[in-house]
Amino acid sequence: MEPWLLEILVCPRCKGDLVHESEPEALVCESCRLRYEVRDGVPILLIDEAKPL
Amino acid sequence: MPSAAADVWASGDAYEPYIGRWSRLVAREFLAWLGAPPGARWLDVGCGTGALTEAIMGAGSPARVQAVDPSLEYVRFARRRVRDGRAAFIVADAQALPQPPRSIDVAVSGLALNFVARPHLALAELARVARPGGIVAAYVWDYAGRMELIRYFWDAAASLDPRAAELDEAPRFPICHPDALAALFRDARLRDVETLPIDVPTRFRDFDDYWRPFLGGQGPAPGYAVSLSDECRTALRERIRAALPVAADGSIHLVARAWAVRGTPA
Repeated sequence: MEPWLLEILVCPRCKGDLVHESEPEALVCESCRLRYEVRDGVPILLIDEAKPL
Repeated sequence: MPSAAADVWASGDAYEPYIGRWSRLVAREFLAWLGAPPGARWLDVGCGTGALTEAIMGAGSPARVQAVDPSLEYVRFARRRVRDGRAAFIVADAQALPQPPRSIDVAVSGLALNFVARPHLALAELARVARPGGIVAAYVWDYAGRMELIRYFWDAAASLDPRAAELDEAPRFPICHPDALAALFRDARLRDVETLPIDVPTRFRDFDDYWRPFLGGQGPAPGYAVSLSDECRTALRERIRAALPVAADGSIHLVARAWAVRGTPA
């Protein structure tokens, strides 16, 4: 994932900050308790496809 | 009633010869109309195979571009095509964007708004992420009017099969008119809303060059074409062939019109 992108993206649901996780790469919203997958460097920021923490 | 959600949008390779080759021409005209300054932060919503993103990378001289689409397959296709560190691709829904408020200078959407289930939500999101004084803009095909390559298809299909009228993009996508687009933008509290018709020539070498992309299954009309029996598809093909204006050398010259709309976030 492009480094500059990490600093920009927010949770599509609550628009709050996302935490970047690695191995496997993911973006986590602590307040929504959702984990968004990153596949081959592409963040999948679809609320319906996020996994509950 | 068939819904936009049922339309197939997954294969970039099949989309390119059908619409991609023409949408690139529209993208160029659209960007010239916007006249956005270089060094801007862009967002391309519903980037599909990346036709508009690619045009922005060239003519737009952007600082960076975020391109989003709900289809991972399209995003992968666009990413392979646009290899540039200033561009980033994200799978996201136009109605729930993952960008912070007022973080974008130019928020655009090409040939996508009519496929969003609730366009007013998408517009609210575009207006939210764009900075005050920036640009929010979009374009869609003029399905009911001069998007001729598709118009010939549905007019012929409806004359053979009453069911086809339900799939025709013209009645399904009432926002593809300048008045409706302007209303959509004004409802999102965008100011100085303007619309513009963008006509591009669509020249086919021969009938096969016109017809073959309909067999790729991408989008409403090709989806309908591939759903037919061989016999019905042949009848449709011949009905279209008879209606199209074919030049002496066998080529077919049509026009594809898109309606563009722009507004300024308050």
